[in-house]
Amino acid sequence: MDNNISESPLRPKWRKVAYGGMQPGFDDNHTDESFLEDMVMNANVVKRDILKVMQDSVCISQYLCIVALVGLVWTHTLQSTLDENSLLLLDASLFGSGFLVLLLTKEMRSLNLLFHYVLNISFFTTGLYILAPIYHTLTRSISSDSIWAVTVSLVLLHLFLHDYSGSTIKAPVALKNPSLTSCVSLNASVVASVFIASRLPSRLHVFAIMLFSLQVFLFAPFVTYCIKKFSFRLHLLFSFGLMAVTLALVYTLHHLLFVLLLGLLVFISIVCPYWLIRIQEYKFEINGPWDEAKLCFNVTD
Amino acid sequence: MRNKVRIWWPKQLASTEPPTTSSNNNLLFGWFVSCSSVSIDVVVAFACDEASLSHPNSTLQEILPHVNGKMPVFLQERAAFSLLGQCVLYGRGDGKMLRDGMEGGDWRNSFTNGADSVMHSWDLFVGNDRGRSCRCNELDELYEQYRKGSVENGHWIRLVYDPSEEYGKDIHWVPKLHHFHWNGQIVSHCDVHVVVYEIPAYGVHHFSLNLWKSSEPAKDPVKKPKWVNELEKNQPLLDLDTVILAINSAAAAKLALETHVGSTRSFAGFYIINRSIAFTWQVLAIFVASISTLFYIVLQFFHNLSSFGSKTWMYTTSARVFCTTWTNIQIRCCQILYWPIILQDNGLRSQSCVEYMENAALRRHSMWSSLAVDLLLGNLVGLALLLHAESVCLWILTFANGITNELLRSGSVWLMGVPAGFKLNTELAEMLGVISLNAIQIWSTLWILIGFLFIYFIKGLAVLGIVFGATIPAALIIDTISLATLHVSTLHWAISLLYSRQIQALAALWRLFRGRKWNPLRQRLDSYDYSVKQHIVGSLLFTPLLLLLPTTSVFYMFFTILSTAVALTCILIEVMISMIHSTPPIKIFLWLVRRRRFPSGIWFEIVSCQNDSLEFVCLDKFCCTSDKSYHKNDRDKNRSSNMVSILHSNFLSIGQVVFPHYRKVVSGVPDFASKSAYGALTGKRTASTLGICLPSTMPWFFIPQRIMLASRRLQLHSPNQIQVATFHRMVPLKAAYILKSVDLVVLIDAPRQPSRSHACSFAKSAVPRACVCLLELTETSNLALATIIGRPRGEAPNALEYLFH
Repeated sequence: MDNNISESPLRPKWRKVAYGGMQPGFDDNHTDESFLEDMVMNANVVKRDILKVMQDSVCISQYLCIVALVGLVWTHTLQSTLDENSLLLLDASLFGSGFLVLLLTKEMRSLNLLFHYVLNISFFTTGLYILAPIYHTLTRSISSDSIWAVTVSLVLLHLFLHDYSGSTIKAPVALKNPSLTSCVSLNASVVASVFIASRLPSRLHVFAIMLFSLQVFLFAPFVTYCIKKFSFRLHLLFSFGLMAVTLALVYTLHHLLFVLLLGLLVFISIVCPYWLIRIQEYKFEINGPWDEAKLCFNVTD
Repeated sequence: MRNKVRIWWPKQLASTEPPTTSSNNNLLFGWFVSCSSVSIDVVVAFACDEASLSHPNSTLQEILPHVNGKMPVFLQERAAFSLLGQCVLYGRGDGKMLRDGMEGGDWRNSFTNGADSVMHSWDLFVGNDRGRSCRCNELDELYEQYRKGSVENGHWIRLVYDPSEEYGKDIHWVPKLHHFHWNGQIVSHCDVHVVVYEIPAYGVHHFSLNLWKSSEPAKDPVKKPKWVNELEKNQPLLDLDTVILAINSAAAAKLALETHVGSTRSFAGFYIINRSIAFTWQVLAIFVASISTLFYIVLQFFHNLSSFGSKTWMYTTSARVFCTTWTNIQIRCCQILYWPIILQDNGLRSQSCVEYMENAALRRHSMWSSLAVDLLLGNLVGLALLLHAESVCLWILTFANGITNELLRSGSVWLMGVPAGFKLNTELAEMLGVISLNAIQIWSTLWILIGFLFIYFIKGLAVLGIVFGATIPAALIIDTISLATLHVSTLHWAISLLYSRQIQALAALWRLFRGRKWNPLRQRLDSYDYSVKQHIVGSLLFTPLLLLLPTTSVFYMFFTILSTAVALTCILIEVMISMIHSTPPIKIFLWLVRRRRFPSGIWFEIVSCQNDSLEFVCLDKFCCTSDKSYHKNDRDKNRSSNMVSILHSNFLSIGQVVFPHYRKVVSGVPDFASKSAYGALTGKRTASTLGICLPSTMPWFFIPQRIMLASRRLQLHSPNQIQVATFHRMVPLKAAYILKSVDLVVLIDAPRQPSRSHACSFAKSAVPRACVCLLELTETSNLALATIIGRPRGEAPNALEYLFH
């Protein structure tokens, strides 16, 4: 009797449970044929348009141009074609235009926030002015070539790690701190500007160039981000204007560099989007019940 | 398994002529040490005539416990001193009977499991019905009673000797076992091992199992194999510790018995020599004691004076500046105060065992001898210094000048340029160099101003060395060096501050770049999201800090090297001081004079071996047998094996004697070296002195009677004890009164102390119930306040190792 009961075909059906221990008659890793039913293929794939991608890549070209402009200013200052007064004037005009842009793009409505920014900037300015004598004599015993080499490598590092999608500086109410890589890229740019500044002839030069570099590296992404949010057309216009100005200035400096920059811009804005569209068709991704769970909201404290 | 009997036979008995027939029975005294059921050690301390032992008042049963009570406690717990048995001439009286018996008398086997049918008739026999089983007769009634008791309850041995055999040039005869009462049974046939030993005497030699005195116990390997544990569980065949202890106590036992019996021996002759030696001793005692008293009075005076001024600023500052000298002076004062007390005879507690006596004597003489050697050294150095004071002064001044100009000034100037190809920041290097040059200039000007006092300082140093010994001027030299190089150490301190801060800041900023933060509560790195502002400030600061690091580190290295050189000199002198303190001169002297007083381990020289089964007992780890010679010629006569060997000692080498004292000095060095190297790399300042443990300063005490004490010690050591009346007059009456009423004064005085610390309040509340204790020597540490609980006990059984440093 007992044998009959135990060998009867009434085996309990396998159920998918998270907790519940081993089910009698089944292995620990048993799954039935319904396992692959939940598999999803290419769930997150976005169909990309070549024009859209090219428009998005303008961001990168724009920032590349900004960095190239900073490099131009550095070169001209080191060659003493730019004196300290014009540098300070450039600083002031950049400040003014930046604030104007921020005010106009409606991002900054609160006067309090503006005051906060002004306070921080004044702190930085004072600190830079105090530190300028130290920066002035910092690398006197080191040769210019090694300084240039270090600076170029640091700028390259900065460009690689830069956060092109957003801006490093955000409104203080923003929840997320900037990621570590963007901070590292910012540090690299600051160190590079310190190295350049330490080669300059006078303290005022040092102060002006440090202020300029910090302004550009800190606030230019923010300003462009604001412009882009305000109006995409304006953003495109601004970018193309910037590219033209940069190319023209580089052309006056050095022809080879002009060719290099032009090639880079073409590569970034045309070749890379086309490349991306071409390799898009090889994309294959699967999702299923084996994936780890993802949070669909931000965890804040 | 056959029974084994080891007879430890004194060489003095073996070398003298065997007792003739005229003297009757030789009674043997000693110990039975048995640790397993099959083997027994019979330690014979001495032999005695019946006649010499006859005492009208007390019987043997009363005398023996008294004698036993004087033995070391460890020995008392293991074995009792007793009358072992008797030793008679072979072939006398019952010898014939013995032979008859051996050839087939009515021996009966009563051994519980005597399986061997051949053996049983040889091994054992019990007494037959006649009551006297074995003819252990011919004793007086007095001893007969004792013998009966011991035959029934314990052990009784009967030895015979054969005058026909010769064993060596010193050993004329060696006893043989006739038979042996063992817990009521009679054993006549067993393995006998006669070990001839020389009775240890104080000042001559003794035996010791310790391989290396006062060495740490050998560390066990990480895990013992199983069989080692099993082996250790087995009962050892031989309790060598007890046996050696008994051997060492043999002379004391003989002395104790003789004093109890009351046999007084009068020494005649040499009266004049004795008197003259005594007189010399007395004069010497008076001389040393009066010098010591003088020192004591001066010291006491200065101590009182310093206790008055102990609160003033001058006192504390000088104590801090001259801390090494201060410590050494304290140690020296304590040594001067304490050497008579250490020299004090400990009384009976260590008299029983020669090993203990030796150790106690070494410890007693250690302090005054080190004091004397130190004084001798100090006199040598001090006299030489005093004679050549001028030239020494001149040489030192030129040397200091050269150091300042050649090394410090030109070094600073060199660092302001491009030293060794380092790319320095010119501005910072110039600033640091100018600061250091200014400091050097200020300091050297100060030294030039007080330079004319230097010759007096040298002379004072010499006088200090002559009066107090070499260590105190050496300590003063350490303090003077550190005072004279104050500018170097100050500059080093400043630059190391700068350097360490810079290093720490760089490390913190590097962590900032990696998005990490040091969590000091958990001692680990936490990840942390820094804000953009913090990153900007960090990177603005990081670059100059990193680029200025070579300049700072070059200056830091220069001054670190200088101050390390100074510290190394000081440490060398410090090591020398602690070497002088820890060298045991009395041990070295005794080792040179009489090496036999430092035994370590024993070995057996086998003289003869009569054996039929060659069943060889391998004695313990300590012995190595040599000169093995087996004689198997007496096979027919006796089937029991009979081995005769002589006990010898290994002796310590001079390194083994001295090195344990230096181990404490050397032990601190590697740790200190690694710590200071780490400190030099990270820019943290570490202690510039090694901090070698010097002898601990003992509490300052006021015993005005110590003058008497000193003289009394010396009198005790003089052969003839004559009252030295003059010393007693030197004791101030007031001081004696103070000592008498100390526990009255302390009740009033102690609660009046102004301190509010917990320890002090505890002491205050404890004082009313306190009593004055004697300072006693303990076996493990040097001095302790003795509290007497119960009856005075002998030496602590587990404190066999003496540590004296």
